[in-house]
Amino acid sequence: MKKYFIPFMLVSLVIAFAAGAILASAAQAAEPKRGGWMKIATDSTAVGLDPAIAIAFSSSTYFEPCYESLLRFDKNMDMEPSLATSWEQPDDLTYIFHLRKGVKFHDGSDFTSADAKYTFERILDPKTASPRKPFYTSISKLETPDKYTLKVIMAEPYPNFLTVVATWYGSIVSKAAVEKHGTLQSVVIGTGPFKLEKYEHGVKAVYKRFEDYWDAPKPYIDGYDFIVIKDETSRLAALRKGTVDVGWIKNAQLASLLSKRKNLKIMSGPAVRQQRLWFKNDRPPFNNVKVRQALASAINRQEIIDTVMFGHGVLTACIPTACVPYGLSQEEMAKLPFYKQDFELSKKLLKEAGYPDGFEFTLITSPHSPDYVPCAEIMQQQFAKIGVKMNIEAKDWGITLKSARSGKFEAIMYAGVWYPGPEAYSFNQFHSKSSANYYGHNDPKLDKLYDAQHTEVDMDKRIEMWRELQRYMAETVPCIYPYASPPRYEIVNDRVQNYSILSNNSRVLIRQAWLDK
Amino acid sequence: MIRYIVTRLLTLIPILLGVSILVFGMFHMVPGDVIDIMMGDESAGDPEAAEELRERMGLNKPVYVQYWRWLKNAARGDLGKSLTSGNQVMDDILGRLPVNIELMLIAMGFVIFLGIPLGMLSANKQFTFIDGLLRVVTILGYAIPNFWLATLVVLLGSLYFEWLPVLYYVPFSENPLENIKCMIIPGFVLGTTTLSYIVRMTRSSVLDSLRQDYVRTARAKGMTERVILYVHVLKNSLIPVVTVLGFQIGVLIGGLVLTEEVFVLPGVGRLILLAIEQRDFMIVTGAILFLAFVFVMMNLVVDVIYAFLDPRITY
Repeated sequence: MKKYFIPFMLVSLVIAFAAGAILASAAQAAEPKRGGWMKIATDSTAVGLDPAIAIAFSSSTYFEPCYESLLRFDKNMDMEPSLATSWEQPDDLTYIFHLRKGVKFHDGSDFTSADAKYTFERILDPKTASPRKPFYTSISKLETPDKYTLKVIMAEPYPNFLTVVATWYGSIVSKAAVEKHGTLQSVVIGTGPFKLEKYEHGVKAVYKRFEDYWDAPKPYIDGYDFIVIKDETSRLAALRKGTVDVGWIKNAQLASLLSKRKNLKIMSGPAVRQQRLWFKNDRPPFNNVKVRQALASAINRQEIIDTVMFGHGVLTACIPTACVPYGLSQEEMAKLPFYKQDFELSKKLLKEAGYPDGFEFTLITSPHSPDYVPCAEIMQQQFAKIGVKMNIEAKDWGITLKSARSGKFEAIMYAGVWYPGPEAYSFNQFHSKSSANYYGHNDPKLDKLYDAQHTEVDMDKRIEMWRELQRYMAETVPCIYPYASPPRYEIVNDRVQNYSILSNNSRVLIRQAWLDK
Repeated sequence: MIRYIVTRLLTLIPILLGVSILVFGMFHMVPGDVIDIMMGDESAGDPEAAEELRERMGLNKPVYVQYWRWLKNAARGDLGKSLTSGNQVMDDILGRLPVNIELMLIAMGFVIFLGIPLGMLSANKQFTFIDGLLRVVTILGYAIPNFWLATLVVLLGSLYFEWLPVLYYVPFSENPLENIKCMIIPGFVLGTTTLSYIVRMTRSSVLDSLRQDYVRTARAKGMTERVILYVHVLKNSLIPVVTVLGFQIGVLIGGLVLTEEVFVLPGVGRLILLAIEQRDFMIVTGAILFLAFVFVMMNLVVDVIYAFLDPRITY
C-alpha cells in the first residue's frame, strides 16, 4: 500500500485545490466589482443616432446603451419593467403603463409621461418621416392622466405591441431635447445607463457611466470604448491579443478558431437569422407556384447547412424555431411539404408547370456576409440536377438592397435579422397591401391568414394560427428558406463577468456586466 | 522657374474640376443611396418615410442640379457636410490627415534612408553575397501585395508575436512614444513595395554611374572611393530615383486604404472606404478631390527638386 500513498496524497491535494478554487471563484462571481474600462469591437458604423429615423441595426447598436423603453428584456428574453414599473390591459384595446418616478435624462431633466407620449406621437407624425411608423399605426390615442401614467388606446387589437415596445423600437426620448435640437441624429439624450461621451464617425464611440441612472448600482463599469474594426481578421487578432474585450465574429469557422483560447468565451444567440431566397412572384416563371415548389424540393437543406455553415444551422419555416412559442420544432419542420429533397417530384412539377426542359434565371446576392455566395453556389448545383440553370450575380451590398427595394430582380437572396414577434419576419414582405412587398406576391388566402393573427389576442389561438401559417407558406412557397443560423458569435474575454448577448443581438446587458481585473 | 511653378499650379483647376465631375458622376451611377443604408436590411421599414427623408436632404434632385449646388460651395472652399456624420467634410478629412501624413513620412523615411543606402551598398558590392541576397529580398518585397503582408503581420502578431504593437492607435499629441510604436510597423508595411523598387532603382542607377568616364578620371586623379561615391555618383544617380519616387507617391496614397483598414488606423483611406459603403458622396467627392490636390502638389515638389539636382534641367 505504501507505493500508492504518495499518488493518493497528490490526487487529494489536487482535488482539494480544485475544489477550493471553484468555491473561491464561485464566491467571487457573485460579487460584482465596480469600476474599470471595457473595450468592445464592432464592424458597424452608424448612419445617424436618432432611434426614430436611423433604424438599421448598424445605428441602433450605437444608441441602444443610452436609451430605454417602457419595458425591457432580461437575459432569457422575458419582459420585465424598465421605465414602466407595471402595466395592465383593462380590455383588448387599452394599455395603461405606470411610469417610474425619479428617472432622469442625461441632461438632468426629469422623465415624465409627457416624454413617453411625445415619443410615440413623434414616430407617428408624418413630419418626422420615421421608418418605424408601420409598427405603431394601430395606436389611435395617447393619454396622460397624470405625470406618471400613460394610457395607449388602439384602433384594433395589436398583440405584438408589448414586444415591439420592449426593444429599441420603443426608445423613449426627451421632449425638451427634441424641441431644442430639432433632430436626434447627432445628439443622444436618453435615460439609459451610459452617456455618449465622444463620437468619432467610423472610428470609435466612447461611453461613460451615467451617474444618475435609476437602476443603481448598475452599471458597474466606468465606461467603454466602442471601436470600429471592420476587417474580420483584424477583429479576430484584436480579440486574441486582448486589445478588445468583446467583439463578434460572423464567420462560424473563424469563431471556432478562437474556441481553443482559454481566456475567451464564445456565446451565440439562438438561430433567428433566416436565409431567404426570394423570387419575383408576379412574373414568369415564378408566378407559377409549381415552379417554386419544384425548386424548393430540389434543394437539400442539411447539405447546405453542413457545407456552408459548418453544421451551425437549423431548418426554418417562415418563422424560426427560436421564435418561441410560435415556431415549429425541427422535427415538425422536416415534415413540411417540399422540405425533403426529391428530384422526381421536382421534375414532375416542372413538367406540369410547362417547363419540361427546365429554364434559366439570374440570382442577385452579395458577399456582404460570408455565407451568401457559398449558399447560392450549392443551390446552383442542386438546381442543375433538375435542369434549372441559376446564374449568380454577386453585387455590392448597397446595390443588392437597392435591387430588392426597386423590384428589379428575378431572384434575390440575403439573410434577415431578429424581429420582435412572428409577423415581422414575413408580414411586410408578402402581404399584398404592404408597401414593402417587393416580390409581387399576391395571395388572398395568405392575406386573410395574416390579418386574422394580427388582431388575435388569445395566445392559444395565435399559436394555432401560426402553425397553420407555417404550413401554408411551406406549401405555397412565396420564398425558400434554406436555413436559419445564429446571427453572430459574440467573443468575450474572461475578465468580463455577467455579460451575455441577447438573442436580438442587443448588447444592452452591458448594464449588468463587471470586470474581474 | 517661377513661371513654370505658376503654370503648373494653374493646371490644378482643370484637373480638380475633371476629378470632381468624374467622381460625382460615377458615384451617382451606382445604385443605392445613404437612405437605403440608413434603413438597413429591414424590409420592415417604411418606403414613404424614406422618400420623405430623401426629399429633405435634396437627394431626389437630378445629378447635375446636385453637382451644381456642390460646385458652387466647393469653389468657395466649402466642401459641404457629411451625410453620415453631420460634420463638415473638411473637418472630417483634416481630422484624419495626421495619421496619413505620419504613415507616409514613415514609409518615405524607410524608402529614402534605408532604400537608397541599401541600393548603393548593393551596387558597391556587386556580385557578392550581400548583393544577391538584397536582389532576392527586393523581388519578394515588390511582388508581395502590402495588404497581404499587413494581414499576415496582424495575424502573426496575435498568434505568436503578441508583443508586436499593432491594432491600436494613440495620437502623437497624447503620447509620442506610444504613437511611434504603433505606427512604425504599419508605415514600414505600407512602404515595402516602394522600398524594394527604390533599392533596385538606386542599385542600377549607381552601377550605371560607376561605369561613367568621369568616375574613371576621378579614380585616376587619386580621389578616394568614398568621396567619389557619396559626392559625385550619388547626386547623379538620384535623378532617375527621384523621378520614380514622384510616381510612387501615388502608389503609396493608394496603398493607404487597405493598410489603414487592416491595422485599424483612423486615416483618410478608411474614411473614404466607409463613405463609399454608406453612399456618402459628399465625403467621397471631397476626400478624393483632396487626394488629387495632394498628388498634383507632391509631383510639383518632386519636379522642382529634380531641377535642383540636375543643372541641365531648366523650366
